[in-house]
Amino acid sequence: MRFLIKISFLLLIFSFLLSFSGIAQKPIEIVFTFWGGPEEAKVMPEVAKIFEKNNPGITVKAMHIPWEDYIAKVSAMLAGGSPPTLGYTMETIALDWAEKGELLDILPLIRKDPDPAIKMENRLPSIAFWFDKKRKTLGTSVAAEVMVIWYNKEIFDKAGVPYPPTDPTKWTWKKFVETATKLTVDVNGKHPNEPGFDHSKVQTFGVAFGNWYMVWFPFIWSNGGDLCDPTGMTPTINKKEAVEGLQALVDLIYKHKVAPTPAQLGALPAYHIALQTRRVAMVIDGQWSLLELGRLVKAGQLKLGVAPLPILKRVVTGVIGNPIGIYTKAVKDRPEVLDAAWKFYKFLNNSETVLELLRNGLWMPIQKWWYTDPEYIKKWIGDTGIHPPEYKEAVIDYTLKYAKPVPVYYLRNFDKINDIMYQELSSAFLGKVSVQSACDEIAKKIAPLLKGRYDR
Amino acid sequence: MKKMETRWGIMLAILGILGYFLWNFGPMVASFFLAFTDWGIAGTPNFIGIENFKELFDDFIFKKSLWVTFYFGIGSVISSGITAFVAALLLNQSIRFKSLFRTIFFLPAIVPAIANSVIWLWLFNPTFGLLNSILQILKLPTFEWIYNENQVIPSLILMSAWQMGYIMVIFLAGLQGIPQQLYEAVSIDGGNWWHRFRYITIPMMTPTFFFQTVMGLIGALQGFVQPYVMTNGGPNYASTFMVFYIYQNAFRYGKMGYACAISTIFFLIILGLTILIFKTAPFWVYYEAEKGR
Repeated sequence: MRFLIKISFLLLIFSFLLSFSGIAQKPIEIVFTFWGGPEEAKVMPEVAKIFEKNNPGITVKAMHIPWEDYIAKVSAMLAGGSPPTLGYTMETIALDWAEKGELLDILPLIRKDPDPAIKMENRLPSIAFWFDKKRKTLGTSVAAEVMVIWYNKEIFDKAGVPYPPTDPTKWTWKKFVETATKLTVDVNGKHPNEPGFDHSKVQTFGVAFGNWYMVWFPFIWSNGGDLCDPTGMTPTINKKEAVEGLQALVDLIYKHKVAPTPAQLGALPAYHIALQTRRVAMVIDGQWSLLELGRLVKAGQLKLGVAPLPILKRVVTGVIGNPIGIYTKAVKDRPEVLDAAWKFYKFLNNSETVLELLRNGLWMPIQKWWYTDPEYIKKWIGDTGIHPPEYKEAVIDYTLKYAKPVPVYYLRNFDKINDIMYQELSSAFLGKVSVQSACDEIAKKIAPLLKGRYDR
Repeated sequence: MKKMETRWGIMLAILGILGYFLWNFGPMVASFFLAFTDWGIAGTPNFIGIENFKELFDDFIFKKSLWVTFYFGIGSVISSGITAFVAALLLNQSIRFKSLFRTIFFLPAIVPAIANSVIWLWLFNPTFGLLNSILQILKLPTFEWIYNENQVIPSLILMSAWQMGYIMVIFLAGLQGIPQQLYEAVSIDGGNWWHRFRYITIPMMTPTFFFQTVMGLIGALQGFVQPYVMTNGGPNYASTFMVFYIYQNAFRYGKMGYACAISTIFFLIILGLTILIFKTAPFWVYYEAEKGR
C-alpha cells in the first residue's frame, strides 16, 4: 500500500510539472516550420523577430527542420494531431495535402485582403499552386528559382572563347556544344574534337548537370516535347520530341564528351567549388546556387558569369519553389490564430520583407514588379557585389518571359512518377540503355499513375 | 526483503516496459491495422480491406525490392560471416600486437553508418576511386561498382564484409569458450590442425554461427543507409531495399497505409525465415548439454 502511495505521489508531481508548462503558454503563438541551409536557418528567426515587433501580441516559434527529415517530421506532427500553424511545404506533396483539406485554401483570404502584394495577379503566374479546377489555391512559391547556366569567366578568357549570349534566342544548341567543346580539356591539353582525347582523364569539363527533373524538363520542352498530354492522363515522354530533348543531354556526355558521366560527376566537388577550381567551366543549375557562388565572388576567388539555358527549338526554362501552407487543423475554430497566421503568411510572401534572402542570392522575388520596375530591381541586385552584370537580362527578364512551371505545380502523383523517371533515366545517363528505351519504360510504368492535374 | 526487491525491480523496469509497449509494440499493432486503410497522413483513414495487399502483387518495385533485399541479406551474412570467422581465427593465435590488430579490425564497426557510406562512395568511384586504381595497377579488369545495375549489390556486400567487427568479436568469444582439453585430446590421438579445426572448432562454434545467422540476417534484411546515402535505390531499382521502399512510400509519397502493408508482409517474411532457421538448427547446431540426444 505504501508503495502505491509513493508511486501516485511521483505521478502527481509529474502531472503538476506538465500542467505548468501548459499554463505558461502565451495567448497567440504560431508555429512556423521551415528547412534550409545555415543562411535560411539564421535569417528566418530574424524575420520572425521583426514580425513580432510589428505585431505585438503574436509570438512566432520558428522551427528549423533539416530538409532530409522534413516530410517525416511534419507528417508526424500532422498525424499526431498537432501540425504547425504554417510552414514550408514540399512541392511534391503540397497539392495532395491541400486537396485532402490539410492545407488551407487561401483564395478567400486573398480576396478579402486589400494588400496588392498578396494578389495572385501581381505574383509571377508561373509559380502558382492551383487546385480544385483553379477554384482554390495555396498561393505561390515563397520564392522563385529558375534553371540557368553559371560559368567561370576566367576559363573562357584563358581559352579565348566568347561568353555565352545573355539573349536566350541567340544561345543555340550548336553554339553551346561548340563552346563546351572548346572549354573541355583533358590532362594532355587535348579537346574532345581532337585525336587522342581521353574522356576518362579530363582536366576541365565544358559543362556539368545532374540527373533530376529540373534538368530534364527545360530540354524536353525546348525540343517541343512533354511528360504527358495537357490533361495529364496520357504519357508522351516516349514521343520523338521528348526523347530527342533528353538525348541531347546524354549526347553531351557520350557523343560530344564535354560533360562528366554520372560516376565522374559523383567524384567532382560541389558545383561552386568545381567552378572555382576549374574542374567545370559551366554548370546547369538553379538560381539558388548564387548563395554559395556569391561567397566565392565576394572573397575574390571567382569571376562569375550567368547565361540562360541553350535552346533546342524554343526558349524555355523551368521554375520551382516551395509554397508556404497554413494547416487547417491548427487554425480551425480559432479565428485569432488564423488571423495571426495570415499576417505572418503575408509577411513572408512579400519579397520586400525577406530582402536579405534576395540579396544574398538564395531567392528570387515573387511579385511581378520586382521584374519590371527598375527601382525594385535596383533594390534586389544593385550593389550586392555578387549578382553578375548579365543577371538582369539572363535571369530576371528570362524568368519573366520564359519560365515554365515544372509538373510539381500541377500533376498528380508526380513524386512517384519522378522516382520512376529518375531510376529509368539513370540507366540512360549511365549509357546502359538508349534514351528511347528508357522513355518507353517510363511511359509504360507511369501510365497507371497519370491521374490528371490538380488545376483542371 | 525479497518482496521489496521485486517491487523495486518492477518499478525501475517499468519505464523500459512502458517504452516497449508505447514505442515498439503499440506502433506494430497500429501499423497492422493501418495496412488495411488508405491513410496518407493527410486526411482520415478509410478502411479499404485488402486493397493495399492486392496492389503489392502488381507493384514491380516491390517485387524487385524483395529480390534485391534477399540477395543482399543472404550475401552479406555469408560474406561478413566468413570474413569475420577468418579474422577471428587469425586473431585467436598467439601473435604479437594481438590487441592492436583486434582494435584495427574492430574499428570499421564503430564508424557511423553515414560516414562509412560516404567513404565507400569514394572507394567505389569508377574513375577516381581507390578500388579501381588498385585493380588498374594490378592490370586487372575494373568495375563500375555501385553505378552498374548488376554490380551494385555485390559491391554493397563487399562493403558490409568490411564492417564485420562486431561479428568478429562474437566469434572470438566463441573461440575462446572452446575447452582446451578437447584440442589436447585430438593431439594425443595423433590428429593434425585440420582434425582440430574440423572436429572441434567447427562443431563447437555452431551455436555462435547460429546466433550470427539469425541476428545478421534480420539486420541485413533491414538495410537502409546504403540506398539512402549512396545509391538512392538505383540504378534502376537495383538497390531499393525493402526498408528504403517502405520509407519512400511512407514519407515521400505519403502512402502510409501502403507502407504499413509492405511492413506487415515484410515482418511476416522475416518471422517465417527466422522460424525456418530455428527449425533447421537441430540438424547443424551442436549443444554440449544435448549429448544424449
